[in-house]
Amino acid sequence: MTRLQLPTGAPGARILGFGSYRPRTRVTNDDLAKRMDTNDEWVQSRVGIAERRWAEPDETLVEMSVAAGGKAIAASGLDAGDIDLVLLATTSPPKAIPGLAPRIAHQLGVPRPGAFDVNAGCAGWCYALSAAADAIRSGTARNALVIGGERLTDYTNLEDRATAVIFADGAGAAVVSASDEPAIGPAVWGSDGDLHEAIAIPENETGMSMAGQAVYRWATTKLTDTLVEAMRRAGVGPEDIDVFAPHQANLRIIELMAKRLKLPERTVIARDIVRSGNTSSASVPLALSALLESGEARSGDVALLLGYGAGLTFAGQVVVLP
Amino acid sequence: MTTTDPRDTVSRTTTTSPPGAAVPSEREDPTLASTQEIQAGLGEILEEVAGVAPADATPEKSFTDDLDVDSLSMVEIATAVEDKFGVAIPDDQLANIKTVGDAISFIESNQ
Repeated sequence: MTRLQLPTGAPGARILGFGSYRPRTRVTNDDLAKRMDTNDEWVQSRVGIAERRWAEPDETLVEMSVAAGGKAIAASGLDAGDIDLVLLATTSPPKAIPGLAPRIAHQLGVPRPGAFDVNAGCAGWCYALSAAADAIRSGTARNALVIGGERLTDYTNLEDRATAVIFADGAGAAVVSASDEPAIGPAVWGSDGDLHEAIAIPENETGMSMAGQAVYRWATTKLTDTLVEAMRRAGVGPEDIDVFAPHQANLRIIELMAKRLKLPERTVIARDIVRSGNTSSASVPLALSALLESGEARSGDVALLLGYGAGLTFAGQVVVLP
Repeated sequence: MTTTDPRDTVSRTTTTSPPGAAVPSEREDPTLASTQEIQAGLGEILEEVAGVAPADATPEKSFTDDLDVDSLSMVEIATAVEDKFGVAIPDDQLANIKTVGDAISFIESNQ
């Protein structure tokens, strides 16, 4: 049998820089209370959201992703011409065909990269980060742009108080590159497809529905083990975690996870949900961008990430921040 | 009082086991929690999850109306009940548990 050659990959992969795009329009809970039967106290106590951003018509998924991706490339110190893999994690594309990653790459001036979309629900960006790091380690890519972009409001009934208060829009991105020292740990990923209806667009409907109690129960009981395993496989423990940045689905889930993991007092916990709502696969890079911009997180910090959502899917990993 | 007094019949069947019964009643199985133990354990869970004072966690109290326990805290209570008593409360059953007494009965009959 013919023996095939394999490229020599890199010893490791690391994130070189982040970029983000937050839509212009800020929507507070009081704004929502004017259009539906809800109020600030109810929303804050149930999900922890004070305000969120809703994209205007000109803030398309492509435009937001290009903006975030361009900033990430600038932050990385690389040129667009250095990028050879572009991944867009999204669960809210306007159309099924074509995938948007090639067009986003083209608009960013990235020449003919490998490019594809990843739909793994709110875990999408963590899945894509793992795919990019694995491609770099196996030698099929050298520098990857990993974007999480969403216009969830396109798939949300904005008059439905159960979901309109939660879902929002935005994009976050990171450039991932080859490195001698591993700075992206192995992903612990998986799915629970028996719960496929828990977050879904029901038949003959255009807006998402979510079985809130079922998802809450799943997230607070099943995913702690994923996080523990992600730390174990990366060779770190709770005491090493400087930043905990799980998907921003619900502040109460975030706080419960942090408590169950017994993270030290000093660990910075991402609470970007308070001002951004749930932006699905954009939430982890948006939260990390915000923490780095504010100085709450610093270069070299060890961050524990977790994506989870529709599918149901989940992916946890440990990374060193750029 | 005659033996056909309905109150007497109810009293006998719920508080005593038949003399000389070969199999002990459920209430006497030492591996099962008594009603008092369940109420106390549920009280601890309510205090931990929702900050409810143990004295307030009495059977007639409604979780939503009297104790300010919301639907997500109910999920946390269900999870804690499973850990403590080994009794799983599925989401569809959770919807039927309105009062502390409902929860005690559910645990008691499913343990």
